[in-house]
Amino acid sequence: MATDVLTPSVRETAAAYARGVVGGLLVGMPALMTMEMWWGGFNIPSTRILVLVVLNFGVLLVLQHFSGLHPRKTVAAQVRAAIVAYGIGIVVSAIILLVFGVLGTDTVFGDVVRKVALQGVPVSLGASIAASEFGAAHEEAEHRLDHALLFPSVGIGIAGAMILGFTVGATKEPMIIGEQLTWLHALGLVVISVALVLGISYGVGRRRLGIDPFDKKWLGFYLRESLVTYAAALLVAAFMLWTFGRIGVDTGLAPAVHMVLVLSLVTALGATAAELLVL
Amino acid sequence: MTESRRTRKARAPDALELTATWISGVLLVAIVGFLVWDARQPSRPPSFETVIESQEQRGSYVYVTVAVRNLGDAAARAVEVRVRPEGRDIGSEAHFTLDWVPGRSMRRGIAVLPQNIALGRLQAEVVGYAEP
Repeated sequence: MATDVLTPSVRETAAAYARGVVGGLLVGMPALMTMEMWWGGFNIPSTRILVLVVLNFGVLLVLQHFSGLHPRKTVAAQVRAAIVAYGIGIVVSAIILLVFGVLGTDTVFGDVVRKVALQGVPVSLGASIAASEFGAAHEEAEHRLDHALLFPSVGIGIAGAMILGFTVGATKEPMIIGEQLTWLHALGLVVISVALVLGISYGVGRRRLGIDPFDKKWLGFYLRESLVTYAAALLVAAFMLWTFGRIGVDTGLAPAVHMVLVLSLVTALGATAAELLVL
Repeated sequence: MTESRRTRKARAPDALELTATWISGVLLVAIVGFLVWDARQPSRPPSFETVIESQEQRGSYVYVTVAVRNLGDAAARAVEVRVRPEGRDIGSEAHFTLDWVPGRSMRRGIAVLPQNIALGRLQAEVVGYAEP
């Protein structure tokens, strides 16, 4: 009876989901242990969490294509995997928050849903790169080794920026560091961030694609990819800070820009190193 | 592309994959549905109700447990609570601060009063809070 149910396909799926749970915990645990993330359940408006959940689903779809929860790579299978990845995010974060005592009998229903919806995002991102984390075969990653493509690279970059930016973006530190900055510090941050983007993109190009980014053939692509990746990192940083209520219409322009620059140092790292993490 | 990969692509989803997709889909739709509904609800600012739940003498002090309920929808940060005997002068009072009181939620704090104060009817009141 048991052998009838446990077909090779079911076993493969079960193994993929188990990898997804562990991958989700690896990426999501820092966020699950961050109190500002817990507070997000009652001080972040539902509208912002909704926007985050919707955007995250798009990122999950991109990740299913290049890494993913499940090795099957048809369009329908990738949509199913994105749904299950978020499902894993919801269930895993609910269990961990319950075990941590963050969810209790005195937590109101709306707070529970918002906390789980929020924490489910980094866990689902982790579940969606599980195949890469655990070295499971996936066709698209292998295919990507042979081609340098701008949009997939940026898509993966946004996912990487979200993975690294999520935990830091929720905390007060980007706001506090942002408040300490002068224009000179801010300029220094931009220089460091751009240097990191160029340096890591160069390393990724050499390692993954086997190309010399300084070769005339690739120089344009390399510079374009680096620039677009940094722009994406800045946008993800701004979005994170807006989601967590650090910047808004009542924030001055200079403090808002400073906070974005601080967080973008982290998101730029995530965005450029994403190909090492995801593929 | 190898033959085995072509075969894998063409294969129908297994029972576990379908079951997990359905359960996850229901969870996702329920969460998105709640967030859409909640986003459309009016959000009332914090308003507080305080209840003195117990008084206990331990050593030289009296420990007064106060429950603070936020009747509004919005959360309040750094909620300052003052406890003092009714009719007493300001020197007899005790304070505590609650980090957060989420909307429609209750948090408890303990005020510590000196023993030499005759405990009549105590009163607890919220004297201020910060917006998140």
